[in-house]
Amino acid sequence: MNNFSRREFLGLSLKSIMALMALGFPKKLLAMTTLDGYKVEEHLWGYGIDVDKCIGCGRCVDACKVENHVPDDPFFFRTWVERYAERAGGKVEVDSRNGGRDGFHDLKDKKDLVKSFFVPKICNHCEHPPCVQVCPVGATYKSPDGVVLVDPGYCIGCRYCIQACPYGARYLHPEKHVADKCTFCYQRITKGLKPACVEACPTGTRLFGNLKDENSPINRFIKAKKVMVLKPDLGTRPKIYYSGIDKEVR
Amino acid sequence: MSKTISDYEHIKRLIIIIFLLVAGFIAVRFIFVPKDFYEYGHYRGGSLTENMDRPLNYAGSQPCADCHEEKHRLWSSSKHKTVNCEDCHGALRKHTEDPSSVKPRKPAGRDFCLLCHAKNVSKPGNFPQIRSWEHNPGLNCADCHNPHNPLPLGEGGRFAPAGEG
Ligand code: HEC
Ligand code: HEC
Ligand code: HEC
Ligand code: HEC
Repeated sequence: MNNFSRREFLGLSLKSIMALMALGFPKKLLAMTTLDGYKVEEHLWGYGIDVDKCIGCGRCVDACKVENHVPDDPFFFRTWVERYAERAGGKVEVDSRNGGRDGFHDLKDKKDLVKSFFVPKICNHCEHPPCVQVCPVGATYKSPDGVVLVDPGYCIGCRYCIQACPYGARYLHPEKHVADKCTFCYQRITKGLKPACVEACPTGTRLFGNLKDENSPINRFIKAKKVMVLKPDLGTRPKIYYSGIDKEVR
Repeated sequence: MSKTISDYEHIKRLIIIIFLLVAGFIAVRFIFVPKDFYEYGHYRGGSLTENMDRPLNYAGSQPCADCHEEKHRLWSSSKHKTVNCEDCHGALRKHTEDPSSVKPRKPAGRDFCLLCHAKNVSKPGNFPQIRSWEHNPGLNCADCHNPHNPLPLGEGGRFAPAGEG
């Protein structure tokens, strides 16, 4: 019975674990995915919006449409800019003509204006995306680097995801009849470039970076500013961080 | 003995039916679910590379320096250094690869500058804004402001007010 000493037992255990490892058992768990030289798991993308700097010029909206061939019609947007106007008495007006692509004319009625500012909007690339949960076929998903993407070849155009998004960030593409949305310009960020909207922003309102890199612009922004996310009570855990917004922004 | 076996006959059938159903389900899945589904999660793995491979249209301002060195140098120390060349000249990735393939747009007139600089209460107060109807109406902004270094005075500046300085 007792011909197995503790020492032998431990030794044997260690050897069998090493043998298992050598067999490649945990390889799949540790594996890093490299696609065309892009190391997916080394990234977790985050995005910052400094509302105090936005001038509502709409260059982001324009650049997004051009880069991603978003239809020109004034109701299809991957990103857009809203103008908030708070009146005395707490009434809040929001407008966004053509998504802000042509800029904004000055407010005509300034009589009881308390404050007014621009708020760029975009898909929040939630940690817990409701749109992904409702997709019946697995045509929308969160990539390993945290970007919520669509597989247009697999999408059946049922619009569940469009209904489920609390931020109104999706639309049905009028020609392709599939759901379409912001991808953080996945074709750009995987090549070390910034999303087109960030590139186009003339004031530094929009910034972008890798949340896994201490010194990325987004981490410096989060450390330096008091940041908020939209609709935090929904538990979607957005990765778009806003600075300079109040609770009236939804 | 033989009686007990026939007692199990119906169970045998049931097992065969269940087996066929499961086999059928697996076969249908095998045909309809793409091979790369579940490669990384509940989606087609190949969709990641498809999203990566979409065409790019914007080049950024850095590549312009290769051929428009002087413009780029002037711009990069100007008040407009945060305004991407392509904000004004349009998406130019094709132009950087083959300059004659795409003729960059050159915004003329006042409206384009006013997109950013028109007075607007909703803009941050510290952003330079003008009232178009007061600020040299009827004249082209670029007559006095070099778009690549917009301060009227200084290098590339186009305006020195008569009688002053
Ligand atoms: C490979 C060299 C090259 C690169 C890179 C390049 N250009 Fe050019 N660009 C040219 C040449 C050559 C011309 C003149 C072409 C012509 O007149 O047909 C030109 C002309 C222009 C013009 C003037 C067009 C006109 O009508 O007078 C603009 C504006 C311009 N480029 C902007 C840019 C910007 C902005 C970038 C960066 C995104 C850029 N270029 C990158 C070579 C380049
Ligand atoms: C604020 C808008 C703006 C920005 C930013 C801008 N340009 Fe221009 N650019 C113009 C305008 C307007 C013209 C038309 C000619 C003029 O009036 O100077 C022009 C003309 C040019 C020309 C034609 C040559 C000429 O003198 O007519 C070139 C080349 C050029 N730009 C390159 C660039 C490059 C490279 C950058 C980035 C480093 C850049 N531009 C950034 C507005 C801009
Ligand atoms: C896409 C937005 C944008 C466009 C278009 C644009 N600008 Fe600017 N402009 C800026 C930004 C951003 C600054 C820097 C503001 C700052 O320093 O806070 C600036 C600065 C300036 C300044 C310096 C103001 C100062 O007192 O510091 C002048 C003058 C100017 N622009 C003129 C023009 C003219 C003329 C045009 C048209 C050719 C033009 N801008 C087009 C965004 C733009
Ligand atoms: C006749 C020449 C002239 C024209 C045309 C002109 N400007 Fe100016 N602009 C000036 C001068 C000179 C200044 C600096 C002195 C001043 O503040 O008035 C200036 C200042 C500015 C400033 C800085 C204001 C500030 O508060 O810092 C902006 C922005 C500006 N111009 C934009 C424009 C735009 C946009 C246009 C076209 C719609 C334009 N300018 C047309 C001569 C001109």
